[in-house]
Amino acid sequence: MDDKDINNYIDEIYNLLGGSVSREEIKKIFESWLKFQYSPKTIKEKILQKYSSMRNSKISEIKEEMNSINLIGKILSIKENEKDGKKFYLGLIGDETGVIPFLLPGNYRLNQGDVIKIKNGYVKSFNDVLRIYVGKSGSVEKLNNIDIKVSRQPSTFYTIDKLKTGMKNIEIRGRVINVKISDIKSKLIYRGVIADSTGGIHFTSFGVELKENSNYKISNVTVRDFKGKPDLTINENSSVEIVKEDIDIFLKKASMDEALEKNLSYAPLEGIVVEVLDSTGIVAKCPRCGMVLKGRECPVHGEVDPVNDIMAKVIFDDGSLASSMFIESEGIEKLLSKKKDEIMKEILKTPGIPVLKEELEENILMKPFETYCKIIKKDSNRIIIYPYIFRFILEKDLDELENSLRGEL
Amino acid sequence: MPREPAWRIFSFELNDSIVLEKKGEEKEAQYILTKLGAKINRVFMSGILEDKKSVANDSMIIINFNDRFGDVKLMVDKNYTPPNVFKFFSTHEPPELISFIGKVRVWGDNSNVELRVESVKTSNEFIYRYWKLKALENLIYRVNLMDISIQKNDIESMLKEGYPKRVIENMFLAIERFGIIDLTGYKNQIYEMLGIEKKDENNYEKVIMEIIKKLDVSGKGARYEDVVTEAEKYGISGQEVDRILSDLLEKGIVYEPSLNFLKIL
Repeated sequence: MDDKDINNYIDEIYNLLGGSVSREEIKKIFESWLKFQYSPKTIKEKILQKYSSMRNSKISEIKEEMNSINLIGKILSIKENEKDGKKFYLGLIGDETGVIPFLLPGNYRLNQGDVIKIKNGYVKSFNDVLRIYVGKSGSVEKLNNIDIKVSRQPSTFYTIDKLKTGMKNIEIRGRVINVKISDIKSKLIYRGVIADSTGGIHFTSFGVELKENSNYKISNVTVRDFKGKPDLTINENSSVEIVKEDIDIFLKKASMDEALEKNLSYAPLEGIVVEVLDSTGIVAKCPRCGMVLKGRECPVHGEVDPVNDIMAKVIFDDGSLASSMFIESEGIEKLLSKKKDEIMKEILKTPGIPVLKEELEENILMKPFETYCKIIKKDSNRIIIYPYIFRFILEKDLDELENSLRGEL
Repeated sequence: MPREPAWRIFSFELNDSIVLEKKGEEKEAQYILTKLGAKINRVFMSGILEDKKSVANDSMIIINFNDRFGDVKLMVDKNYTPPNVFKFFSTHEPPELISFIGKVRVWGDNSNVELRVESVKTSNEFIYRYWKLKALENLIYRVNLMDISIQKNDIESMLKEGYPKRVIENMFLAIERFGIIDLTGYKNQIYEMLGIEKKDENNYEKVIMEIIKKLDVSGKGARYEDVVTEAEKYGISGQEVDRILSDLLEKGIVYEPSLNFLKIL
């Protein structure tokens, strides 16, 4: 590296620091790092970090664990929260280089659209997303008569089969297959499965409502590890849009032996029910988590007053494998085109007669359908299936199959 | 033991099978092995209840079932069959379109194979068509895979190429037990079922011979790779070229003047 290159770097750093540090001082520090074979880019970052309190950082420069940050930005969204009697603000701040979530003390009057200067802030990762904080030693100043043009870094689009734990700022398009809502510390959490034509993934949405069978474009989401599997994390910083386009979640159906071999968690399957088992009928469930109980004891919630529900246990077979399938009341309602209450009444009216089993045998045995499922691998030879969506096979599906077979020859 | 899947399979393939000997393990399933490498314990079939006969003081019903491509014998024993299945066959009269799940049963000197019905339903033309297309899809898959297995004749290389282990092992077990089988009959059946005009094997031979003649410009013969490339333009796959060439070589119509070169005698 010659003197000209070094001087170029020094000029750049000098300008970034707004002239608050002399060129001589910068050169001295620059050369001391250069002796240890540090790259000019790394040295530049180190000097900027050292003098970060003397300059305003840009959002694109922000890295994990940075301290003493000054930042000027525009509040894009803001929400007032309270914990242990302390008020604080959560939201998004942006400048011409990007957007970052913030957590600021609640002792300021801040609104969406305000341009603020954060002094002596720090950066930490929360839910795998960087966030700027202001502690006791920091402050927030409202700047009037200034506007900032905010630039959001666009999310990168991925199909679901390409998602891997650790990915950030991604965009997907998919259909919500299933949603369960839980209320943790008065915050609604939506958990479920979202799928596109390439596969399905579990999601956790903190406060952002997602509805079953709706198609969404979701941006600025992260893929985290949840119980050893990838989980799409959606939060207030994510953009969630309903889309009208049809997403064919059954385009690439898997065979069950393929699901077993590839250890798939969610997949569209096609096959027939070959047996409805005797355990089909009324079950007792925990009123809080919906877990099937053997007595009054729920493994999660202790002693509870169980609620009655219906469940079917069948053997589902696609010719490659035969597996147990547990069909919940919503699924039974769809398969029999009957309401749960009506089915329950019939069961209770005829004690000892397996009316639900008989009705399912009559209506679904050996009748082909597609189903989008959660798949749990029991061992190297067995899987258990929890279906979310059902669709009976139609003549047009057979026409398509026949045409594709012709095409293979 | 995991439950055995129900194979969607045509009667003509099912009848082209041998009984696999049991190894003497506890609760061991009975399997048959077809010429196309399907190792079967359970089937799902659809077709016509053609005939039934009550025997052994009406405690057993023997059924003649026809899937429109061949017959299969079904066995319904009052003592071993679910009551609703026995009742179904006692009360339903032929002809009737039915679908059933059945398990392989071997009796006598281990050469008589029947299917013991586990569940049965009155069917319809839609279910029949679904079953037929699924059975056909599986048949095409096995015929193609058997073709490749015969050509390659190397289980290890096929496993390395990513073919499923369970399927490939049974393909080679079938080759071991039945020898190299002629797939022409199965292929013709597939074309017929899909209403596609049968491929004219003699015409293909002629096409290959013309190609060899055309490419043999120098008189040293036609390069094998060039023959394959040229044949593909006529819709003849590489595997078919190999099979036709080995026929022509065997018949003495074509010979190899040097390695990788072909010439008409």
